[in-house]
Amino acid sequence: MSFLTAQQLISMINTLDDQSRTNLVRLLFAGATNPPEIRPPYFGKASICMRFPTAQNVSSIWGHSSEKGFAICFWHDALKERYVCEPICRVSEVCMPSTAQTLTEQALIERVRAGKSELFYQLIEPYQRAVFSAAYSVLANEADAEDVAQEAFLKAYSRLEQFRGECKFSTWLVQIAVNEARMRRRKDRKTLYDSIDEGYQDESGDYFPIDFADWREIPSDAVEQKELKEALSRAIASLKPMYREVFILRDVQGFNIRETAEALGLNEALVRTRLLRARLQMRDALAPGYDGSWLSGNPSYKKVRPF
Amino acid sequence: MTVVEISCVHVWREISNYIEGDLDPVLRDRMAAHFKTCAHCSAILDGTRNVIGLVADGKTFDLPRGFSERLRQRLAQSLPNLRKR
Repeated sequence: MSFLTAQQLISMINTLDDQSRTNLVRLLFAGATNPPEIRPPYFGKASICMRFPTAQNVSSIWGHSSEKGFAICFWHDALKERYVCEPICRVSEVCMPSTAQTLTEQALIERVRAGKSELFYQLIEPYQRAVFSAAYSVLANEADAEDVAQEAFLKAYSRLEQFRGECKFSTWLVQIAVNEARMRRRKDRKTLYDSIDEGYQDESGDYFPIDFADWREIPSDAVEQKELKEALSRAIASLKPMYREVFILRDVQGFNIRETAEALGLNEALVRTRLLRARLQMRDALAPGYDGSWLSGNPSYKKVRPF
Repeated sequence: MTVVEISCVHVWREISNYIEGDLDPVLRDRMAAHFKTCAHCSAILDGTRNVIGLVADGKTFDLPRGFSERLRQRLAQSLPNLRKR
């Protein structure tokens, strides 16, 4: 019998089809008023096997909750063995996570509004990464993004009275960060980005991928490698700001399409259009490394062109 | 059931929505059939999903070292003054 980490568990859940996942979540969180949201599966078969090697052989999966916590069990076809991951967390923490979180957040907001400024850091602590990434998505510069993130938090504090709960607190914070960052970009004349990046005209044209290489599987620890991290950062930085903004909020931060649109002040259709372009460009930008040349140390990469 | 064929260009236009699971079933089926027979589009689909999987990992975008500490210091310095205004 083996045990899994929570991260592996989520990876595994992502391998299920919609119906199985819904059934599993229902089963696990039976009776909970606010079952947690489990994001749609994103990873292709290759990626799944990379992240969680046993998932390809899982034929059935089930879960149960008890006073001890909740567990997920699955049957491994090849090993003919039952695997259990437990306990992920206690039942009391599982049952109403979103309600508990909302209450805490709302209570914190009220207290900060009432003058307890020392609680403000506790309120915004979970959103540091989201706010920093949002600022980075506009500026593509770490130092500037950190400075803007700090400014955004200060502005959020002074405007806290204006937060009406019409969107999530995190979305509200990111809206402020994006606006601050855009102002900074406009102010900074040295910036490389000109007004063409804000235009919509060129978005009606189709994007033609420039490389059709079939990527090899990437070992699960590859993302820890400096080269890969740097290549990802470089590729993200190479996107035009309007594409980078949606890509970072949607794909890096995991905002959904609506939240991304709200945070950036765009309509959802435009978010989708830009997301498509951003994703295809990211893939093209990264293809030369993913044919295995990074791992093999062979720099002689040749593009695969079909036409 | 007959699935009507779809062009590569059309597939690229919708590939992001396909990954989002955000297409009507007819188009989704057409694309799924296309991926089975077109190695290029299939490679693009896998690669694009791979990109999303990698950046969503959470390890790509670390906060700069010392970010939280500097933020705390900035808040400690600035918040009392903001309240006085």
